[in-house]
Amino acid sequence: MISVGVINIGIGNTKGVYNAVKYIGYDVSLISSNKLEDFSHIIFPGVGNFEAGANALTPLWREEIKKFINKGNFFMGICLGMQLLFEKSEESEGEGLGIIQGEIKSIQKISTKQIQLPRLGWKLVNYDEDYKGRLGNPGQKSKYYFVHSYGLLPDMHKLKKDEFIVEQIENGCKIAASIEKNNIFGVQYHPEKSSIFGLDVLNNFIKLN
Amino acid sequence: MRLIPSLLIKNQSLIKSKSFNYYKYLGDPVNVARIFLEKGADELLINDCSAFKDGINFDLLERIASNTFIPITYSGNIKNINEIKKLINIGIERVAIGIYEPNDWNMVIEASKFLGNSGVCSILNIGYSKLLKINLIFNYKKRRLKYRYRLNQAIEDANNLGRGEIILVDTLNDGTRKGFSLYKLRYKFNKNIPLTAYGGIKDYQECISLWENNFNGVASSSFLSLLPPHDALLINYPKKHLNISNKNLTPPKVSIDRYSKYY
Repeated sequence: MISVGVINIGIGNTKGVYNAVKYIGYDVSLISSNKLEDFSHIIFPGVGNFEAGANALTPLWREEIKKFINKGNFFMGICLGMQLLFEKSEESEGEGLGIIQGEIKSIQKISTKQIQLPRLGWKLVNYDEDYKGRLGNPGQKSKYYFVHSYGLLPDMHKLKKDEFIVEQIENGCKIAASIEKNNIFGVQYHPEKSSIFGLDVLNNFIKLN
Repeated sequence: MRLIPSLLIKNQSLIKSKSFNYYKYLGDPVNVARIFLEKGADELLINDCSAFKDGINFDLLERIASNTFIPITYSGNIKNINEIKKLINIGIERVAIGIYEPNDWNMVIEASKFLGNSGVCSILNIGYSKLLKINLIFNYKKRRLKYRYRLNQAIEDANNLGRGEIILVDTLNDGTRKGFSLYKLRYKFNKNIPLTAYGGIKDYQECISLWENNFNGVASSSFLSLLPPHDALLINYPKKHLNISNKNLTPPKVSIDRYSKYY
């Protein structure tokens, strides 16, 4: 039985994700109290500053999210939600969930040509023919809506065996578009705002079992 | 390379202004937003000019946001962080804050602490004084030019205090399709600040030349919603733009078929 929950702790455009999932045709509810056990899939949307997000995650929420993930259920972080899966960020103070080891870095650091920050707009993401992840389709060329100044930089991230990153390349700079680790997914772009391509990603995520 | 349809709302109706003065009724904003979504628009910019009188119309915005799956930027009388939180909660992606005087930058900085730089835009309404023959900031609230806040000072403040994107509005040419006259201002702004041009966009050719001039986005209302010469209502979105941005794409095979025909 598929039931999708969207975490609503006041840091994300929860209604946008809620509407998108509902549009695809699944049961979805907003979760404001920290009871995640009734759901098979949880989406954690986020918009904004890392510290504001870290402060909104109370110890109870952190414990509940970790419990949910350890059970093997599917969890997806969107934008700030993805960044909060990591340990910390260069953007500001605050402690992430630490579910995936690593740090969120400023994009300006790696760019040889200067990239305008915030980096926003529709960007092309190519999935290889031998793509083995589960959010996209092999050989697919999609465009997604990105809006961020900090991100996961594949060149500066020690990739573990069970982790899988899809890169988005702009001006020679590699920036992670999404990361998959067993039952944990993180996307830097906004699938709920990426028209048909984003709805497809949400659809692929919810279909997992 | 973003081409952004702009929706101007007054008393829950979609309208179109000419030089910020004359208003023409266009229809229901929810419907028009939906049409732009189905035509494959990159983004939407919603300006609510009745918000200064009646406050932000959250119900209408929620109806628009729940019917569109593309990013929406809202501007119109945003006074505090609580209102921003509420806007983000109902599905608005970014907020744009009007800059009328130097103090208004504080609101931009405060908003960026909560939303990050990427979630905030600032709007500079730029008017022209025939008397002084210089560009000045136009105060939308009081509907007159702000003589004490000169454009040069505003640009300097933007370079020092600005966060996120800046939307330059050509108030003089708004709705006239005479062309965006402020493109030279790009060189006065810091290179790394993303700029969006808004007001007076003539045709798609002009959009291309603005993108080549390092403008990140082009927002337009009359070019995308009215048909010259009699300004008949015709919501359109240039197919050329879709061809450029979509030529390398393979549409996913999802159950949402009614979208796929636009890609």
